Amino acid sequence: MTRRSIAGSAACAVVAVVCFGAAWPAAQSSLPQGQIPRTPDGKPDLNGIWQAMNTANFDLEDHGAGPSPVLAAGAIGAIPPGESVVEGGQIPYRPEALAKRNENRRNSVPGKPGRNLEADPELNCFLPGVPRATYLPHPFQIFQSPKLIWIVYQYSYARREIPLDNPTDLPYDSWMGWSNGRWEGDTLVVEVTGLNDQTWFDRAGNYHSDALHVIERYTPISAYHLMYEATIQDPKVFTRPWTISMPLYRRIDRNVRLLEFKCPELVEELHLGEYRKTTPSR
Amino acid sequence: MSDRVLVSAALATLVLAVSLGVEPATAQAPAAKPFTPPPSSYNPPRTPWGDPDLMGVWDYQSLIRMERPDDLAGKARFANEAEYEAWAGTNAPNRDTEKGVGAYNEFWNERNFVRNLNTSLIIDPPNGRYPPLTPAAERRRRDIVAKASELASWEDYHALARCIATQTPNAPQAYNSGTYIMQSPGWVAIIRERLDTRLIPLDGRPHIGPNIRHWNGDPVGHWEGNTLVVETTNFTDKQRLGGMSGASVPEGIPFGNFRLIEHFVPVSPSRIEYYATIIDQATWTRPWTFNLPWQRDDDYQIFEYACHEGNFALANSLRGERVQEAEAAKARDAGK
Repeated sequence: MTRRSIAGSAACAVVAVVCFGAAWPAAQSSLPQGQIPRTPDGKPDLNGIWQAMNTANFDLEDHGAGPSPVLAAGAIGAIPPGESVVEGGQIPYRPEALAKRNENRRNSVPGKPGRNLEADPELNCFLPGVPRATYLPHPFQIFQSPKLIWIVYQYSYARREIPLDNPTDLPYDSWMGWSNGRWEGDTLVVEVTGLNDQTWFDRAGNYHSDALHVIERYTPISAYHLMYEATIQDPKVFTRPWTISMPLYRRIDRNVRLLEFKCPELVEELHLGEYRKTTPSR
Repeated sequence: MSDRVLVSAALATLVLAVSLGVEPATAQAPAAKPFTPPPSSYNPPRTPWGDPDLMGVWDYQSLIRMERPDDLAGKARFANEAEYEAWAGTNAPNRDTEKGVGAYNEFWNERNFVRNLNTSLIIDPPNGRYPPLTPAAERRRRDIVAKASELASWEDYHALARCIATQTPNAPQAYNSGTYIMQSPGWVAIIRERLDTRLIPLDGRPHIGPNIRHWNGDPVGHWEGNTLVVETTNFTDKQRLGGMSGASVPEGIPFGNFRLIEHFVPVSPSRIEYYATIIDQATWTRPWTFNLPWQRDDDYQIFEYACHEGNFALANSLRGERVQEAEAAKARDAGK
């Protein structure tokens, strides 16, 4: 860092709120390293549009490049390589659960029409669950107030309401689960329970049971980055809790906004094509 | 299959049966000026960043329909609460005595949630009826409705039955109409329990380009005093089968070129007067406006509306159509 940019950062630090509120991202980039935007009540300001930039949705664990699961898609559908986002590298499956994971992996993209319930739930446009919603290849938007947070994901407009410091009891299991949040210093900690057993963690068949309990941690490390961690507890499937971590990036594209990705429409031909009328009209 | 999936499938099936059954009006209406909502002296609380604070759950279940019933023609408003209640009593049967229903009855609904002394939601034209369609739109509407009845594919079902979207703007619906208004600096989110999420930027940005089309359109908004004004364009013309619960527009009218102007006018801590003005010269002979009050409902907990995940009804319905066609063809062949 040059001396001049240090001086510029310090100047903006004095008026950090103004710099942030006025015309970011230009102003926000002047925040000193490590300084994070804050709401009027002094909490980290997580408002904005965020996105992961990795290949975790293909496979949480180490994976080399692979061919497209759909032959006709060639290199367009090829799997990009990526290193594991799992602390320690590997997911600690119970032996029988690992066999199930491997079976899932073989069935991930069955290559046949219909509602393939043995396939990756993403293939069917089912709600993605937590933590997968975070690292799907789509942005998501955080809305923050002192009392609660909403997260809206571009993927199928999956949504989560997260009350803060006022835990509520889950009424029943659901795809996106039941979230309760709290601040621990500058980290937003979200406990997620009530997740059903219908979602996977990725396209590689990594999965869980209905005993899943996820603890997410969102920690701002700059005006543009959150560090995201999710600790997975599920004694039916894993021998011990395990954690994934990844940075999330603030989307600063001009006029960035979530666009509609209402994917039920996008799988209708796959799910229903066999019932399309082919005979002439009555 | 879990009980929950069964319940979802049952909901998706029943939703097919619920219809508002609206019809287009035929009476000619006078030309309209740009709509301006009645002002309100109520001053709502502020967010920490200074915007009017509308955050929380709102609901708009109502017995009042888009169009004024024939038996109330010429009467724009009920005289008082008592007259409204008397009318409501005959239009919302007692949930304990209601019998012989084919879909949800009033045990499941609470349609008399928002009290509204207007006799129709449409306030302009003043006769409380849709303005006439243009001749071209009327022809197109008939073609769409006629083709849809064939149920040749999923495209002949309402977007709601396909678990894609309800209509924007939306009229009262039978259930699941809790709506969370969430705000952040520069944004308002309108999060409907049923299917739709609208994320409204307030920073003066332009609409998305004309080649991107959304089921719920592309909204941009701003504050005029305490009123949130939202302009929505870029609707897809695939949203064309209205007439279901929550629909504001009759069946067979594509949304493609709609320009929607909405005014959210907070009038008390517990009420927003919501006005939607629809402008589409190719479809309607004049702009028109409806007014749907929103009532705050702090006891309403928004739940996940996992519709597509349990939607076996659409496949079963389509398969049934094809089976019936095959049996009819077989019968014809046997009779030759």
